[in-house]
Amino acid sequence: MGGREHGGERAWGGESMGERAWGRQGGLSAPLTGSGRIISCQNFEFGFPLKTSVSFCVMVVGRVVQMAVLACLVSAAAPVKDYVNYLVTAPQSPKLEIGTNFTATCFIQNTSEVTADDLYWKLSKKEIPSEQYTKINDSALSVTITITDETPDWLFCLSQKKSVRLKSGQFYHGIFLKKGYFPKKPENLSCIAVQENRQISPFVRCEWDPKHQRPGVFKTDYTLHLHITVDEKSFNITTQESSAQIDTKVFPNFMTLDIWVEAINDLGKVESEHLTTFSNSLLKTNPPSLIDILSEDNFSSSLLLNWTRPIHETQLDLIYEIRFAAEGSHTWSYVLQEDTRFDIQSFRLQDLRPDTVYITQVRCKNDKGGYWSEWSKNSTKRTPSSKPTSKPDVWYFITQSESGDGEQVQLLCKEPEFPNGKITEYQISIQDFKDKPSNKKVVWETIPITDHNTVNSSAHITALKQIHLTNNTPVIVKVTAVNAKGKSPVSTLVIPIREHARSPVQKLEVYPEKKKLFVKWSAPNSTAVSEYLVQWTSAGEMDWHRVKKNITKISIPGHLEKFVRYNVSVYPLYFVLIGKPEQVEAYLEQGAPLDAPSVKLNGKPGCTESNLIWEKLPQKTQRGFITNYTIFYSDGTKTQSVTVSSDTFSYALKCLARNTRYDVWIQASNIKGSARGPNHSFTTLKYAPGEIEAIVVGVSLGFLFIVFLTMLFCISKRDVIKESFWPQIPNPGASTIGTWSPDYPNKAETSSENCLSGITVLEVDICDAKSVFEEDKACLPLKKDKYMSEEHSSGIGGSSCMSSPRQSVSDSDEGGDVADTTASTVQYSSVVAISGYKGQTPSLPSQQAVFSRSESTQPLLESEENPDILSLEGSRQSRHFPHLSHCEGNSDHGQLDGEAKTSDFCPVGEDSEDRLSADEQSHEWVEAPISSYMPQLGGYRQQ
Amino acid sequence: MAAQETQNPTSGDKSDDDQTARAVSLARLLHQESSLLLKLFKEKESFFEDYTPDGGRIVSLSAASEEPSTEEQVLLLHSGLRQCLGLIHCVILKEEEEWGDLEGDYESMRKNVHQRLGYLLHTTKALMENEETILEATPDHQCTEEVDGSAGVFALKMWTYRVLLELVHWADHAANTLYKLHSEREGKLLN
Repeated sequence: MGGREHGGERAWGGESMGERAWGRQGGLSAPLTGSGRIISCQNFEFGFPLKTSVSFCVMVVGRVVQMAVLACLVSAAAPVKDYVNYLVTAPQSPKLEIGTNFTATCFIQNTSEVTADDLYWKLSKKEIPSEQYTKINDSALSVTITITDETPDWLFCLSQKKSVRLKSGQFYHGIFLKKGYFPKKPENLSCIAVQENRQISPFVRCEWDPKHQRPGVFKTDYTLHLHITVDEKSFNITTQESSAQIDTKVFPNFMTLDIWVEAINDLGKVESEHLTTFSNSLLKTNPPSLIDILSEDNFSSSLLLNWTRPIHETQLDLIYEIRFAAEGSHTWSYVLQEDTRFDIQSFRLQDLRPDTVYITQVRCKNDKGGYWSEWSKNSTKRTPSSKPTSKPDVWYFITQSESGDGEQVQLLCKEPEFPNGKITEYQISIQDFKDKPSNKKVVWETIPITDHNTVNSSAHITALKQIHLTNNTPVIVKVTAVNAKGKSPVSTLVIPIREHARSPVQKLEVYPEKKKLFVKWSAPNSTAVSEYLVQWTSAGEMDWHRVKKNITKISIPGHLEKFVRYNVSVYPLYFVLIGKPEQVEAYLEQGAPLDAPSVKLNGKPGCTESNLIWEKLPQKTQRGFITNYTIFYSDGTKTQSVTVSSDTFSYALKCLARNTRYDVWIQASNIKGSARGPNHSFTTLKYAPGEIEAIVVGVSLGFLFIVFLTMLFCISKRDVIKESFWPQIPNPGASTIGTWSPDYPNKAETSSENCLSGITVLEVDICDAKSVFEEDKACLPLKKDKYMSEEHSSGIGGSSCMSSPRQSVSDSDEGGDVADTTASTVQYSSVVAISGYKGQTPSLPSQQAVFSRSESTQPLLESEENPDILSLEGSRQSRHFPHLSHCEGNSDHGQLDGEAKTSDFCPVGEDSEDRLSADEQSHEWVEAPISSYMPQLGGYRQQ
Repeated sequence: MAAQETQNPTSGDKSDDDQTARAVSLARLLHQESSLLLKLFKEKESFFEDYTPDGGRIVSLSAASEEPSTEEQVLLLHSGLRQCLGLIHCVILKEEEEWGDLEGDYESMRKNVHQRLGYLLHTTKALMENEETILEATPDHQCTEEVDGSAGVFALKMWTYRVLLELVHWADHAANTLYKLHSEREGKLLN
């Protein structure tokens, strides 16, 4: 950065600096810079430009504006060659290390307007406290600051004297501070030269720390030096990275090298420690190649390795490392380096297992230091076979539970731990426990191993045979494994009767941990335990593992599946005898159920409840221990749920709405999550079966009950009812008018149905029946129908001619008909003293008094409402009869009679009118001879 | 590198024993490389397959005494190797002059042998140099052979072939002599 850069915008603080300068000078001085376009005036006397802003001045108002414009114009108009900067700062462009102190000095030159006392310092925008100033003399002021961060800053020297504010641009100078860190000493230098084709590559690659550039403006260059000490030949390369490679043209084998790194930046340089090393110590060759393994039949436990060195022996001396592993094993076995630290090209691996495939790898490096090559590619070879050197592992499981005649037991056999060859068959011998071995010659049965009887191919488990345990006698099973080279030692197992099995282990626990399933137990009380057998079964799979008696915790070997339920059993073994097992179910890892049961209805849905049933979720889809089932049911608007335990497989939903469609599903949950089963829909009934019938029966019974109660009431209150509806009629027989007509003995016998017929008959017979009847017809056309239809009407009192008003009307002839046409009728009752008509003969007391009602609308007279008066009224009615009789005998009177008769059944007005006339004529009625009336009774015709 | 083996290179052993052992190894490497160079040359120039040049050695030195000590033999060896270095340097110059700067296996190995011979010279110099004996490791040959002029390219090849044979011989001689020196020095150390 030269003087031009320092004299640019940054040198003068930019906008903010101008604003600050303006603020300090109040309205008396123009700002140095503005926010708008900048006019830049450069004065190369000190290598720094001057910048002023006109546009900023325009922005100022009032007097300030005028002053500012004036100052700007003066400043801008000043010739460049006349511009003098009275302050100079030093040193310029310092390169500062962060964390160090820096002292700058501001000099006053070519002026006496200000002294050092008038100066002050600013670091970027912040004024530096005067405590950090040192006055050197009247024209020089220094400041000391601590470089704290890597951000570049400007350090300004300014004058605060008011008298020079108008030309403050000439009393202003700055220093640009470039900050950074001293280069860090490279450390951990390491170099390598790799093999390239059949030679060592001439490129030596080195790397070192730090891996990254430090912050700050100074980039560090690293120069890697390589010096061949004998040859005095040097190589170097420069980079800003933390690694580099040097081309030595020809790799200097067997030479001593001096290698170091020099880190350098603007603040200085530093060297790493020198790596003085034997050049071959930097080599990394290719791995040995063409590894050939030989197996020899006579040496079933060894393999001979041969390989080719990766580089010519004159290039460097090599040492080797060999490792090997049986196929399927996850751990390598290493040959002791003492045996391979020579420049060899073959080695015999020993103590290997017969008939086992071994994977072998070899690597090499320079004999004195250097880097190990990569491991060679896998080379595999099977060791020769030999006869089995360990017993087969015999076990059993009960295929059929204990019944009356014993148990069915399946014998299993796992390959010997060291089969030393392919086991082709097993030989088995089964004896009763009580048989003495000396009594019988052992009979061996050969069971060849086939796919058919292979239970678990990965665990090499073969189903030997099924035996039936009877007679409560344990059996001794002896098995030997056979391969092409011979037989294994004999394995013996005593299968006990269950009730005789010895005590089991205690506190059995099975739990997953670190992706394995651990089995933990406590020893049984007995101390005779020789070992334990851990057995685990899942759907269709079974395996077991024997552990020593001092072990009570193992992780189940072999591959276990996640989300599969294992049934883990631990058997204590008492040498050849087997103890009772303990059993626990467990998962290696549980997962959310894959599915949930399908729920369905048990029977038909009810009105408000439905019985749901579902089946147990298959173990495969459970993937964990089901903790509960949640039944969801929804009517479309609201979803409800019920949670039931995992051993529940039915549930009755209650309080359902009638005649509503429900969707129901079930959710199976375990500790890892839930799964939802399919929907099942049903609709509840509107009425429960028999509900309608019950309602009908209930209502009917209720109705009947009410009727019955009513009847009971009527019966119990019949006197009251009777009195209300059929009031006591004075016995005409007791009337003083009983003497009217002693001769009327036959009338009572004429009609037993129509008790009032006697009254009508009397009217019809007395009157001209035909004429009267026709008048009635003319007057009331419906009368006949009433007569015809209502004669036999029933109802309360229907059976009693006395109690039926209708009957009374019809029986009372025209009087009743008229009453029918009236909306409100007042029934007049009259008692016709039939006996009286029978001649008013006291000697016929059996003749009953007849109660007759009239339906005339005529209001009751006071005498009628009053029973006391009733007798008088009855006397008045009875006085009509002589009148009717009178009509019979006199046609003139017939007319009158007709009128009188009509007056009984006509509207009130007429009736009243007639009544008046009747009253007027009453005296005539009394005078009519009664004897002339009687003979006309026989002329009555039924209407 | 950090991901690779963590063994740190061991610092070089500066003992005399180590130095002579390295010199032996270096001489053997030179012999192997010069033999390979000769093989590559024969592969390239097939008519030399069964040819045995005559005319004696190019580099011939005589010892000061009839039975020189091993150190004296090494000093003679060093002198012979300096001449060999000059010869191979001259071969490179002439071949590049004749055929340009090629980049085949032969040229690569030629460069290796030249450089390796230089390293061996510096090594023997370091082994034998003391206050009384000042040795040079620079080529001792003026490269004045007239093999690329009137004699033609064939003569150059013939001469190159002889130089390569000389290199193989001196490299083998160096390996043996230095081994002898190493054995003596090792024996002294053991005693």
